[in-house]
Amino acid sequence: MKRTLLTTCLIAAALIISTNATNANAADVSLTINGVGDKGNVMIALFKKDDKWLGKSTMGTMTAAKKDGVTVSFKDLPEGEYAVSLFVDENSNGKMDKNAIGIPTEAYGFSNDASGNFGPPSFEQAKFVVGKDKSAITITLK
Amino acid sequence: MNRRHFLSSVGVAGASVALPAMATAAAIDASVKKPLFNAHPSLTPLRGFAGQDVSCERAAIEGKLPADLRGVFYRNGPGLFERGLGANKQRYQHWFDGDGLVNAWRFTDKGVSHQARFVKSKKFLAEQAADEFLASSFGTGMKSKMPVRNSDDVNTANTNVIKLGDKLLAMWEGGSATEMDPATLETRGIVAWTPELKHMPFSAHPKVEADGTFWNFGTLMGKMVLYHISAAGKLIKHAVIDAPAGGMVHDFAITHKHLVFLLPPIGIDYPAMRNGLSFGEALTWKGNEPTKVMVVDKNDFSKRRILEMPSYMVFHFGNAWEADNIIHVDFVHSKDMSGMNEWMPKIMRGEVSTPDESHPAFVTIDLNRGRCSINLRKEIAEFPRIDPRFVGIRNRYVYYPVSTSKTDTRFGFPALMRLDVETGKTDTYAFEHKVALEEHIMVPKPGSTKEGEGYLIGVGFDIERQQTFATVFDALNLSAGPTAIVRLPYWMPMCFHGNFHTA
Repeated sequence: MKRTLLTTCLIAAALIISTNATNANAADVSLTINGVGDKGNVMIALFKKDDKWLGKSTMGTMTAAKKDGVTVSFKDLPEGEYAVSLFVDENSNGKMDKNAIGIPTEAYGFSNDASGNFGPPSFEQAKFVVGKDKSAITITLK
Repeated sequence: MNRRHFLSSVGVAGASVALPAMATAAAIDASVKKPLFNAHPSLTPLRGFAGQDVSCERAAIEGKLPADLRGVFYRNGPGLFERGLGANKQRYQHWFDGDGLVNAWRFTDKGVSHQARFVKSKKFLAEQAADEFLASSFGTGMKSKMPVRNSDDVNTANTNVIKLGDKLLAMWEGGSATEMDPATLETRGIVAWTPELKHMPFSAHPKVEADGTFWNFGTLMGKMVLYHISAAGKLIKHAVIDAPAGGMVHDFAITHKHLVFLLPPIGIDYPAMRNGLSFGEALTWKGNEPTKVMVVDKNDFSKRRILEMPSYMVFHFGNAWEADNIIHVDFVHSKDMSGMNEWMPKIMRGEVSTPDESHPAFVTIDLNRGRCSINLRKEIAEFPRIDPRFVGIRNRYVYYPVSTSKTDTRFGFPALMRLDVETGKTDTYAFEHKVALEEHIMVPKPGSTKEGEGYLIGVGFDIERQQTFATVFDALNLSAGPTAIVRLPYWMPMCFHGNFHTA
């Protein structure tokens, strides 16, 4: 019991330290996405530089599509390079629909409004830097 | 031209021109520092319009319109080639680049009216608002200023137009058909036959059987999609198959049993495209590889045969038919792609030059022995059409615009030819005035069943008058000259293809 308590305290302390450490070098990022229509959900994935780009993301979120656009926030992101990939799940089936030869048929986009040439853009094309201050980025789907 | 037939009738009465196209083109040119287009007078239509719609309530008719020729002659072609002003002026390098401009020539008891409206595609609207081109087109590479997520983002809907059920379809070849209102030519939006067919390629050369059954295909990235659609416009079946289709397949033919493809050896240089070349510029001619013949069962799209022939290029087909497992297909043959990737950029710069030769050609595909043979004729021709009642079955006549001289450097065809494929005889009419003729189509006479009985109608550009006109011929007697000429008080950008729909 004593040992468990100690462990718990250590973990708690570690958490506090790490949270403090994060806070010292972290910032919130507000992401506004325009032109998403008013059907279904906007599915958003945030990638860190070290993640496999367009593989498993660091963080993901979804929000109902609204005609005037949507805004989501990522809190306390450690400093570094990030990129966002998103699509509008218009029919709310939880996946990005594609046509018979694999071309997406639901709207999608990337940070920097990056677009690829015969394929998605690279992480480098879509990346943005998170520093110490709160920042806001905008993606416009057309 | 037999002048007896051309007692000028109504003159240019009631013409309502939204914007005089000549004046517009001249006004733009005046502000250009470096001339982008020094047009020979025959090339005026390649100046294009500035995005304006035009109409004429009553065109001038010379001669006599047949009382039973009533309906709408829809045509489509690239109509806008330039954007911006002064130092920022941009001009497309290729004829295939321009935004679709759909024309409706309406033949009624009151005469003939003309209306043309641009297809309000996503691309057209975005570029019209920005007053600049925003992405690469077929033959002009540029850095994208708008996201291109699928081919419909750059779909110009500029190649053909046909009515299917109650829809008017403006067609391109790299993406979807675009639906328009047949009465107003208002754009309704792209057509998605099913969710998985959204943004899929739909060629500009569907084949329609006499009963209205509608077949089409599309190619993209080594795949081919096949469509079987009812006369009412309902998708009956479709399939995506692997096909040795290369970079570009423009047209096909059908028999009563098969879809017939001649697939020229065209490659795509993807690294060149990534380096900024347009799709058209990145197409490569692989002349030492075969042109492949692909025959697909209409009842079962998974059943197909592939045969090979020495390389040649093909854009357009007349017809195909088969008996005893032997398919006969006629088309227009070129030796390679030079017409598309050398001559067309020249005319877009305003230079006249002799185009590469394209000839009526006939291929026999013997499915029993797995062999193909080819015969070429000497005439220089393009845009073959047949009596629409004979699509997929044995036909006797093919109609073509033709050249009258091998060294003719003037733009466009000055003559028309009806070829009797059984006897090899031709029936030809050459305009004495300088004209550039487009595709001409055969419209059957109501009530008749005999092949060829009807009218051959088409559009041309009168180089001397700098005006566009439509022609009406007796389709069984072209050499007698046109029975009527319908003149517009303005010129139109040239069209590629169209169809007549009887009222």
